Amino acid sequence: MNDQGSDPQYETFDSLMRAVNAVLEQYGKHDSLDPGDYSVYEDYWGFPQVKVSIANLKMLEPVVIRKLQQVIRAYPEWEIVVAVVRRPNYRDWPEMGLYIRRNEIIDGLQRQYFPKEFQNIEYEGAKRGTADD
Amino acid sequence: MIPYKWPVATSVPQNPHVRFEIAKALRTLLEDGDEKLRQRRAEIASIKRGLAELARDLAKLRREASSLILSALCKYGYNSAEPRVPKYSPGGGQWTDNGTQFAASGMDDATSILRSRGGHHFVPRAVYKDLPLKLETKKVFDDARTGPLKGGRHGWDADHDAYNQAAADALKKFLTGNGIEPQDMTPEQALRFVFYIIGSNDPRIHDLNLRLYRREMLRYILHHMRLIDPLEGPLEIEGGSDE
Repeated sequence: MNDQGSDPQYETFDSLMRAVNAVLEQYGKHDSLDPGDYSVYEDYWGFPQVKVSIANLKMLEPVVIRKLQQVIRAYPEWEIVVAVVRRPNYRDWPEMGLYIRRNEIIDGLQRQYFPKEFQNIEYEGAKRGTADD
Repeated sequence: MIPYKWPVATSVPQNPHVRFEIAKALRTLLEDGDEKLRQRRAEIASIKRGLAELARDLAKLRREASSLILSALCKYGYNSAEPRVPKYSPGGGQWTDNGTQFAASGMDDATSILRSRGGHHFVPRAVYKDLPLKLETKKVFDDARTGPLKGGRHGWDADHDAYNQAAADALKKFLTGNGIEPQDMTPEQALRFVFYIIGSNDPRIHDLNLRLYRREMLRYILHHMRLIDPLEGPLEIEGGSDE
């Protein structure tokens, strides 16, 4: 029996979560006792998703997102949820982020809130969307 | 004498007795209407009072949920301030000044409720996974979870991030405030911290934990409750039977 009782999806979650961590740690520092550039939520919620919170916008560079999409291609039906957070005043920015799926990227970034150098970030083949997409 | 003549032509007899009867009937009708109006107003006022009470109860529940959870957990033998000799041990249930006695023989009793498989870690792994904790201490954090969650998918909210930051801040304070080095943290200290997080009033922690439980309860109700239509009988919700 795995860590999640009898849920067979947990093995897939665990594997994807590790793969996502492996990509992100090449580009930034994960949260620990002290805040880092990003954190991967390591708890499985029963849905085919891995959630990442990005606190440093450099983690949104297209090269990072492209690598994450390469990872998710091996996990049909799963998605990586990227939430962009503004620490410590979370309410300063609205909820925004990306859904990275095998065949698409749903882009819900609200670039008008970003510093100038990040306002022109674009992802190949991405389509604009909302958290409900 | 000229008899009184009613000013409007009417087929209703105009004698005083008839007029008195009409007036009486009108008064009765009006009183009837007034009574119905009064009843309706009373019903509305009663509904309003009920709703206000419900709102107060919900607000109270929201304020007190943490302490309710904690008090429920205490029934399982835990008290962070006053360690007790565990159940089924000699002198079980009695207060003891010796915290290590609790740790040495009572951990199973105190942590049994937190040995859930899956779900949300009360102390996020990101916060402690890099700390040089003892294996048994780390196990306390590993095991302290809600149990499997099925309530909803992730969106772009920042709640998890805020929760992690708050838990990290709290752990730092806990360690420095108690003069504990991570490598020296004992399982019972870890357990005390877990309960601190469960009962935390920090809105970043409290709100997410409460939201998780609320969502799970809603899912459970929707999934298991049979709705009754007064005409059609029971309504089965799709996927309503499970486990």
